[in-house]
Amino acid sequence: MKNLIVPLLACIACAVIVSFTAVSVRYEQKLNQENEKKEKILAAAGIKTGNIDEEFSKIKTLFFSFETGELVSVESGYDHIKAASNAALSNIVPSKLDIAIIKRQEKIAPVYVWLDETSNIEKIVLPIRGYGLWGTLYGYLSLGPDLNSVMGIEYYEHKETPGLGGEVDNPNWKSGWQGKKIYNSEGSVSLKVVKGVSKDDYEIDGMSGATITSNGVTNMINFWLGDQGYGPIIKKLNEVIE
Amino acid sequence: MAELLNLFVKTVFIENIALSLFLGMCTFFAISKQVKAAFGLGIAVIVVLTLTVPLNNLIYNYVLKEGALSWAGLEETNLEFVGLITYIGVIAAAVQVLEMFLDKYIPALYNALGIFLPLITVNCAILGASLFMIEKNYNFSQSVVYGFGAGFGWALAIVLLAGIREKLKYSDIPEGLNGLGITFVIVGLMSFGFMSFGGILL
Amino acid sequence: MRAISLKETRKLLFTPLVENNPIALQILGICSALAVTVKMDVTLIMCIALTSVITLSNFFISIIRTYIPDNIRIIVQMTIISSLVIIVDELLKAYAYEASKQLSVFVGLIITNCIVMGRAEAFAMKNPPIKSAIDGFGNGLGYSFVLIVVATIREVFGAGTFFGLQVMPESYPVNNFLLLPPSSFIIIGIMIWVIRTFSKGQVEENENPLKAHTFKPLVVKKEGVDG
Repeated sequence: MKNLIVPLLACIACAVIVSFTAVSVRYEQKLNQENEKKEKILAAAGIKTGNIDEEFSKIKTLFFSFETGELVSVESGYDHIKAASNAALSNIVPSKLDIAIIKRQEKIAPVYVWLDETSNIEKIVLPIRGYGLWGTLYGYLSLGPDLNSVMGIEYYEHKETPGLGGEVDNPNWKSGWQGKKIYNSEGSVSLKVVKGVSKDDYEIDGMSGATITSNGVTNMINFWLGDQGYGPIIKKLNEVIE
Repeated sequence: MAELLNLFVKTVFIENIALSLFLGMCTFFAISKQVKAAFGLGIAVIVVLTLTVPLNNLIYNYVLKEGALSWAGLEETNLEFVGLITYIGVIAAAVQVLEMFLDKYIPALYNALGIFLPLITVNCAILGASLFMIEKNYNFSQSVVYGFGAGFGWALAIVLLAGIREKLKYSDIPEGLNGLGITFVIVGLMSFGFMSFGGILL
Repeated sequence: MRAISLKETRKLLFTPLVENNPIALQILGICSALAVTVKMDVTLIMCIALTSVITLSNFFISIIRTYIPDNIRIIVQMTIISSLVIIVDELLKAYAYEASKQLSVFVGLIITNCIVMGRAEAFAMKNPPIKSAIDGFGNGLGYSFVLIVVATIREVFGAGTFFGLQVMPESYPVNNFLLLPPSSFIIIGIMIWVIRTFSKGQVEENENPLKAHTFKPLVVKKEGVDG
């Protein structure tokens, strides 16, 4: 009898302790998850200090439809990444146009906008994603008031090899994006990651030993800022804000 | 269908569970001296993975996931924290049941696989595949393919290694490096070889 | 409970470091050793996680060892180990979120880490709690030792950094070979070679049908697979 009671008691003790720990740290875990995205959005826009919630409350989050380019409203808690894997909320990207290899594109996606005192756009942050070498990279790209020059880039999830493609997290590489231009004078996306060192405003330094990741980054900029992505939305964003 | 085939190829070659994710290494090194034994263990791993990954998928989606218990009127419940212990329990139970089943009904197969089955419960490739399946959010049919593919990839890797190790008996290796040391180096080189599948898009 | 002498403690703690290292000599628990050794900070968290799990699991299993019926002992051990791992996992997710994301499933895989199960079965089931805890801690250190050596080599000579700080001169090119995960196999292989060169007792029996270190061509009888 004693032989059964002890294992049983051990199991109960384990169950109680595990549940107690899980429940007591759940709040912190949720907070971590929520703050992570906010932190990265702010970091892409160059805000790295200060209270996350306070800084985040300054942002206007606008949702746009990729199909019409119009401003739309969404239910609270809408997650565009989750929507992309939901057949009703996303479209299959035709493989010819799918340069970022995302397979499905959500119908509605957010644009995070900062306005100055006179309600002019100070900067915006756009979510971007695309395939690198080992998997999809998820990140945010920030543009300045002219909606053409880059303010920063930040990836929050990727599987690239640390030290090679993983250099997308390297602050030196990220700082190389500041002031670069997305669109050329004809209005098409010209920014690309080159091999070696960049020579003009439309080039980003390549990551050594990571050609495929570099190409992946170029492709996702082309896709998300091009006609399939935020291109048309950016072009009329100023009118929408007014 | 094409999507599932892609997943299979990806699981076997690009994300090979032994050579790219380094799971199940203890048994991988221990039971790879002979092709015959490696083959038996490989088959056992395939069977167990094809069984347990979909099983854990069902348990995750219908019991553990946040909101999964809504059919029982418990919408808010999130049991994900007991995931680890549940998966390992499912694996241990499945292996036990499989062992008894084979012993009773297919004794020939039991004799061939029997000795490997208890080894498999504590093989991290088995638990690892279930955890990766959850992390990648596969649906049921994908999980079947993933389980089978992961097992197949692991079996392929161990049979290849055993083949090399059999030949290795005839080579002249420095004393300290002989045995375990050279096996590590070989697995490292094989793993580099499998890295060349990286970047292939399916 | 018999008090443990200092000498015994020292023996329990330090033999698993080099003489009987769980990774290098018993080939146990290497899965995680390979995947998490590219950066020192992540490696260190993994080491702390594993060492605390193995110490506590040995301790608790040893406390109830005489009451566990033999036929269900594995499942009882597993329950205790899994519970400890879940606690560690939950705590990491709450207080070391970045690291827990990088470790992903490898924290969960501590459950099936052969060192933990192996020590529970081989030591904790037969020895008193304090002694078992020390043994667990020693084996945890042995595991950590290998991981830290591998991670140091990979980070310093691979990326040229240590804990993320630049230690190599700026001109040091990034060494792709060491940064790629398979290099850890080769580093461990060479470590085993070095350890065995200094402690000859661990050299494996030569299965070589040819005499070692003779380069004379020999005619070998064709051997069957089973032979």
